[in-house]
Amino acid sequence: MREVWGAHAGAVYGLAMRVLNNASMAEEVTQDVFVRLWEDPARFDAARGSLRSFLLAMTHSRAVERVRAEASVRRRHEAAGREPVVANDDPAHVVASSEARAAVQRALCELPDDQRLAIEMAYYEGLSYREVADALGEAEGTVKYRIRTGMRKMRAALQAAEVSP
Amino acid sequence: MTDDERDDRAIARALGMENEPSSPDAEADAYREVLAHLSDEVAPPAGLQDRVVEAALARRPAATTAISGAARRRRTRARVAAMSAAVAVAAGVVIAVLIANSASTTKPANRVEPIAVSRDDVAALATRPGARTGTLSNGLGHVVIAADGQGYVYDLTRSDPVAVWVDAGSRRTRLGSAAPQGGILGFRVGHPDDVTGVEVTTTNGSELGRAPLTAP
Repeated sequence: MREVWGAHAGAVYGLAMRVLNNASMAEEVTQDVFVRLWEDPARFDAARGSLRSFLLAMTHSRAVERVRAEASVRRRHEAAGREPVVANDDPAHVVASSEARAAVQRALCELPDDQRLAIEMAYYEGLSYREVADALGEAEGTVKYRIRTGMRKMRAALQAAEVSP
Repeated sequence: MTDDERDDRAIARALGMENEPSSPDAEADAYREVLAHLSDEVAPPAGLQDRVVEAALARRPAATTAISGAARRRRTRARVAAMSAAVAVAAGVVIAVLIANSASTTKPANRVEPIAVSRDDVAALATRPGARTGTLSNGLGHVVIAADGQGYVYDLTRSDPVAVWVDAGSRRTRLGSAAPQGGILGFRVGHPDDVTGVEVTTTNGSELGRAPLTAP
């Protein structure tokens, strides 16, 4: 558990902060994620992916539930001016990135704005394809295409980083 | 279904737009791996790890009680006592491992260690060169802290969870809280030379006893 906390607490808290933009709620979600792992570690199936991916999927789910419960998606979206969210690169808070993470984030930054914005709205704001389409005034098929194209590029970047020495 | 449609569904599941499928979904799992690398890491606030441990501990004993409840009447006192001790020690070890990690990320390395230790361990610590001792007010118990920062609150007359604080000049720092094991609660501070006293409170901060530390 020491290794789990040390390796993943920053990622879990960072994602919760990014989705919730509220330190108190992010702490609650982080606590919830680790306590659930503590209570039932068998839920993690290493055959399906990394522990980091498992924890962050749980974090995302819990955080989005909070966002939806507070019906704040629309307010947050309007407050953000529908601009791509700028990554938090405060050196006091950011822990050094792994090569894989750097590759994926580099790929995200290199995406066209419309693809990056659609992915960030879906992931960080917990919006469905339909909700992203409505918010952007685009057809749902267009949004699916943008998200699919962007995600495929990032997946390819991750695969390349994992293959590289 | 086309490849694009399959990918759209897998991405939707990875993004949390759809409920988790009942069977493993390799494509969605692959996209979750991508998303897992998307966000920056942010150092959790100091103290969060302690709260996680407290929350985990608060649930673990409850689960143990529920499991054993129906059969309790059929068990001997000795078996229950042995099981409780095993759970307490196991929980203590796990917690200690969890908390120990915070030493590398928080300043100073202050923490409470609810580890099962014996009175002999306390006595051994008290005889180390540079160890300082104190007596908590209100007859609550005693305190010892060694030069390396390891310390114990011992002879505690309370068994419910308590919080341990240290005084360092004008600063008063909460190390954390836990239930004493056999009347003993371990703690560790990063700068023991700065510590002038130890205080024990309830978990919500009401003072129970305070001990100024004597010079070695």
